[in-house]
Amino acid sequence: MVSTEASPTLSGYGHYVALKRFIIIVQLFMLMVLIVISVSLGSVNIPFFDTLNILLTPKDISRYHSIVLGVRLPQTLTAIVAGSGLAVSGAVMQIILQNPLGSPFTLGLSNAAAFGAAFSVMILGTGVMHSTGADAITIMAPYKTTLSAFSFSLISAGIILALARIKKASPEVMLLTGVTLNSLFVAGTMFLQYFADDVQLAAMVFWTFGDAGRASWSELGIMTVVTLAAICYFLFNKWHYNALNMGDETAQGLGVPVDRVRMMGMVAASLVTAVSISFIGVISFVGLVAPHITRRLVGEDYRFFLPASILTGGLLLLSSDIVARLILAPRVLPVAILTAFLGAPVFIYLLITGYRR
Amino acid sequence: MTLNVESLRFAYKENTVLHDVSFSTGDAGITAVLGPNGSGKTTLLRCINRILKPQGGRVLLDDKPVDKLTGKEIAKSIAYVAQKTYSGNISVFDAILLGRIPHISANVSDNDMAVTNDVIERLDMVSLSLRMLNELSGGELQKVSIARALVQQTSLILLDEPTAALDLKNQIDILKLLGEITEKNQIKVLLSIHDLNTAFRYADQFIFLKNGKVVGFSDRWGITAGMIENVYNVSVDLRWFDDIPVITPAN
Repeated sequence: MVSTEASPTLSGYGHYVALKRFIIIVQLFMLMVLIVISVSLGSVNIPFFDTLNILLTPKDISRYHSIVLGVRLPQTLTAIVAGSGLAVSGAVMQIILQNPLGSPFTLGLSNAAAFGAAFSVMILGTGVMHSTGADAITIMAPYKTTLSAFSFSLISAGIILALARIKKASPEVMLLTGVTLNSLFVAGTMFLQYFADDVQLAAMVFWTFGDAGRASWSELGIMTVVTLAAICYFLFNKWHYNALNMGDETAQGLGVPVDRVRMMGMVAASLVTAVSISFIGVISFVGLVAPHITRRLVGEDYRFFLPASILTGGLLLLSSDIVARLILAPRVLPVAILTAFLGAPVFIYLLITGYRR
Repeated sequence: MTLNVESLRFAYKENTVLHDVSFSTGDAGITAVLGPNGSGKTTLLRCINRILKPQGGRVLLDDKPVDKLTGKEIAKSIAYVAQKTYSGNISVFDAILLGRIPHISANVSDNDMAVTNDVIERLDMVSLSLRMLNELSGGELQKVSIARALVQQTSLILLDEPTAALDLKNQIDILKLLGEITEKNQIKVLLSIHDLNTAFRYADQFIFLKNGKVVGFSDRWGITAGMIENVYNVSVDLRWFDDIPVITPAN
């Protein structure tokens, strides 16, 4: 795109941009490798070449075929989609709220969505619960459940947005509000749990920590469609986010419809969060940590920051999921337990180092 | 290009900030809006490019009413440089390139790159272009904001106290730069500023605002001590130094 003509500025900038592109390509390559690793590792280890064979040729020629296509591949893809969705939501929320600590989990959207999903399953009867194995809850009406999760996460998003707008709240105040909303919705979930029978209870507890192994192919399909649609919308607005980075007035002066960008961004981020939570449960910190790692890699030009955050999110959750599968093998840990353990120290590190954007 | 403002009115709820403000930039390159804190300077600037929507009156660019334009169209003819500058982990080049947003459809064109490059070279910022904003000084950040406004290629630039955070040298540099821009590119500049003596030296005409009303409008020759005393409620001495009025507080 950039011809290196005679201008040292333009050629210098060309190299600068090329480096960012290169980082994104490396991330993409790492993700490919990680997918193969993820599919081959688990309680049954599948040889590397068998894995590649099954992934590349759809014919049923290997005895591992059903493990790969029935279990490992959907789990792997679910981890990628959920991780990317949470990361991109975090990246967008951080810019539209001008808040470096923004993420679906820290601002209370995740637990609100989890409550909404539990509410739908228990009260509206959209799911059938049975407490065996990873599939503790089978969702019978995925749209209704997602819609309920979405509505409750929108409530959280609305409160945070109103606070940001009316009160010009500082990052710290927003975060404390997120903490409050989190405890409110956890209390709501506990209330539901109190009236649940023991089978339901076991299922609901299971749900408060997200597990990438929980989603089926069809649920993965819905998640993917919603997440991709949101990502397209976010990428379409990349210049608007860049302008917002320079402050509201500057953005308005550049013709950016600031209020609409903010509102729609929050709605889209809530939707992505809700859909992943209603299918696999709450996963904390990926939405916060992935954008911060990415910022250090490619800076915060949203043309590169958004795609790189998406890939970082996928990489982060997938590698966590692989570790969670192996760390106590043959027991398989839900990935959310691991991300919470990893996320807490990173969050404290961000607080100490001053979480500058 | 001429900016005409006709009986502009703006209120935050019951609190009226601008009462029937009217003026025209005429041929003057730099017009300075002067007045005490809270007199409505910032509000006036923001009403002109419709960051705030005035409740009455009209803003005309060469007889074209601004309220008939979309946000993007306004951004193609009026640039706004906010008082507060933001930094972050993005390069100077990228921060200036943002000025092309009103012109970019999906991706940056070669022309966008060329315009940005041209402004960077003209403002002597080549060595800065790949530095990150959060490594820059206040004066450099202000220069980035002005460069961004130039890249927007508008016929009018509004600046809200562009020199407020700057040291003497940077103040002079920025105002000289604005003077050169208005001369070379037929661009009009409207800026708010607190330092009267600096304003008198670098601007071509002056609008005095007091409680949201225009109480004085004059070129450099028409400045009197009485005008200043009326606007700021302090008694001042006015002396002329190289054909430029200089204000000092009277004893």
